[in-house]
Amino acid sequence: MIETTGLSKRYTVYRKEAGFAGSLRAFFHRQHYDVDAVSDLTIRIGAGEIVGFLGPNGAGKTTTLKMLSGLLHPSSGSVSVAGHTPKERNREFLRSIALVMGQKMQLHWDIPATDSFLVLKTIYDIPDSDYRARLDELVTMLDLGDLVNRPIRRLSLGERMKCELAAALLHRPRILFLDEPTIGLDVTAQAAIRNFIIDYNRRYGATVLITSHYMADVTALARRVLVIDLGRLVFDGDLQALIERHSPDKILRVQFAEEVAPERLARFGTLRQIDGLVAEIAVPRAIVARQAADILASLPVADIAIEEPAVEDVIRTVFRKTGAVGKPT
Amino acid sequence: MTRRRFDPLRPLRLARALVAHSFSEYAAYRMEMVFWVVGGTLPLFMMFLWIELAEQRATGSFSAADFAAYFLLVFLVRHMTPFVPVPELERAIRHGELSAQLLRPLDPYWPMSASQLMDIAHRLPITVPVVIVGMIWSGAWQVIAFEDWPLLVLAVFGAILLHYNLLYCAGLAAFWMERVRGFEGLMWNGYFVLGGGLAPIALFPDLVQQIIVWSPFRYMISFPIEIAIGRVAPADMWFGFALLTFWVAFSIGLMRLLWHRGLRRYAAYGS
Repeated sequence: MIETTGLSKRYTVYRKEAGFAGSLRAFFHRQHYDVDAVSDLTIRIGAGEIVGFLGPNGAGKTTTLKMLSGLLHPSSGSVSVAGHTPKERNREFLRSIALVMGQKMQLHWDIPATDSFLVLKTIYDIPDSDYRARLDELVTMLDLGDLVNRPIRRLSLGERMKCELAAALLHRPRILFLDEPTIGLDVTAQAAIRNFIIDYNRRYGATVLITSHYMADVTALARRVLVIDLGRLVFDGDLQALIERHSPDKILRVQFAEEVAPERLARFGTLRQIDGLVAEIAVPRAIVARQAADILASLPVADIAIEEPAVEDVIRTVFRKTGAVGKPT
Repeated sequence: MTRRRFDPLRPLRLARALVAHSFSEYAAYRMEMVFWVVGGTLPLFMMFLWIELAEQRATGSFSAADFAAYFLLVFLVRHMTPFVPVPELERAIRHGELSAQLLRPLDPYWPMSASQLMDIAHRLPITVPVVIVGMIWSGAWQVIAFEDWPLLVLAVFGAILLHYNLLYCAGLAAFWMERVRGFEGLMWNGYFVLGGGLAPIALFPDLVQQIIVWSPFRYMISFPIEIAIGRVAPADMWFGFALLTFWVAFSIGLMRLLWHRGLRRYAAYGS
C-alpha cells in the first residue's frame, strides 16, 4: 500500500547573523546551506496496518508524511502510495488519501463545517445519499451533534479537530496520514480521537500512519512503529520488540504492608524509586518472575505488579543511543 | 484501479458548490465589503478632476460627459476586476496553507476564482446604483454605445480573466521569493496608469499610445470602456479582441508553467 525506497528530501536554507550588520551582509550576500530532512528512507506498509511514526522534533516525520501525501517533491528516491506516485497528484490518488495535521486547521475559520463539507461533497463526487449517510456516521462516531453548524472559530480545540477529521474522511480515504492529531487536546478528547481512528480502521480496513508525541496514542493504536532520527530510519518493527530491545528490564511495582528499608531491596534489582510503602524495582526480564516470587516470599507485600517500562522512557533511550536528543536537523 | 467516467455536468456542480461556499465566506465579512467599495472611489475623484478640466478648456476629443461616462465605467470595471490573488497566494505558499488545497482533487485556481467572482458579485449592488445615478446626473448615459453590449460583455469577461490570471502569476512568484507584494505594486502601476485608470489612453502622447495598445494593460480597463463609449472603430475592434485573446492565452500558459515549476519548490512550511 505504501512503499518508499531510498526516499530523501534536502532543503536549501539561508543563514543570517543576528543584528543590523548581519542583515546588511545578508542583503548583499546570502549564505545558503543544505539540510537533509529525510535520508534514504525505505519502508513498506501493508493495507489495513496502523503504524506509529516516532522521532524527536525535527527528525523528519512530517516531511515524510508530506512526501507520502504528494505535498513535497522528494529530492531522490521513489515513493508509491496505493500504486500512485504522490508528487503527480493524480486525482485517483488524492481521492484515496487524507492528511490531517493537528497543528494546522484546514477548515475555513469563519463559517460552519457543514458549508465546507458541501464543497468537499462536490469535489469528491459523493452522491447525495452517500453523503447524508457518511456525514451521519461521522457525526455519530465523533459525537459532533450540532457542532457542525457552528462557525469553526466558535469551537474548542478538540471540537475543531473532530470537525477536521470528519472533513478529511468524508470521501472515505483508504490511507490516513495523521500528524499529531491529538496535540493540545485534553485526555478525554485524545481518547475520543483514538477510539475513532481504531473504529475507522476496523470498519474500512484503512491504512493509518500516525505521528504523535503522546505515547498513549502510539500504544493504543499501533503495534508496529517506525522510529526516525535525523532523517534516517533507526527502527522498524513491533512496538513490543522495540521495548524489549531497548529496555532489558521490567518494572516490579511493589506495595508493602509495612515500611521496608531500601537496602533490603537492592538484591532484587535496581531500586528506581521508593515512596512510602511503594517501591519500583527494575529487574532483568529473564529473572523477573523469580524475583517477584522471592519478594513475595521474603517481604511483607500487600500488592505486586510486573510492568513494562513507560514507552516514553524507551523512546528516550533509543534517541539517546542514536544521539538524536537535542540535536537540530 | 477504477477510472471515473467523464461527467460533463461536473464543472457546473463544482462551480455552484464553490460559489455557494464563497458566498458563505463573504456573508461573514459583510461590513468589509462596504469599506472596499468606499476605498475604491479614486476613479470618481479623477472624474470630477477631468470634468472640471474639460469645462475650462478643450481636452482632446473628450467632453465633460465623455469624462463622466469614462470614469464612472473605470469605477465599475475597477470593482469588477480582482486584486486579492497576490496576498492570498503569497500567504498560502509561505505559510503552507496551500497544503490543504493541494490534498484535494481540484486545482486551487478554481476555489480562488469562485471567491473572486463572489467578491465581484458582492460589490455590484453598491457600485451599479452609483454608476447609474452618476450617469443620469451627469448626462453621461447619452455617450454610451448600448448597441455594442455583446462585445462589451466579452471584453469585460476578458479583462477580468486577464487581470486575474496575471495577478495569479505574480502570486505564484512566492514559490521563488519570500515576498511578492512588489509585483503587485508594479502591476497596479501598469494597470492603473497604462490601463487608463488615471486618464483615457487617447489623451496620452501618440508614441505612448502605440506602446500601450500592444501591452496587456489596455485590455484590463480601457478596452471595455472604449467599447462602452463607442470609441473603438469597427476595424480596430477585431485587432483589440485578437490582442485580448493573445494576452489571455499567454497569461494561462504562464500561469500553468509557474504552477508546475513552483510545486517542485513548494516547502509546505508551517503545516
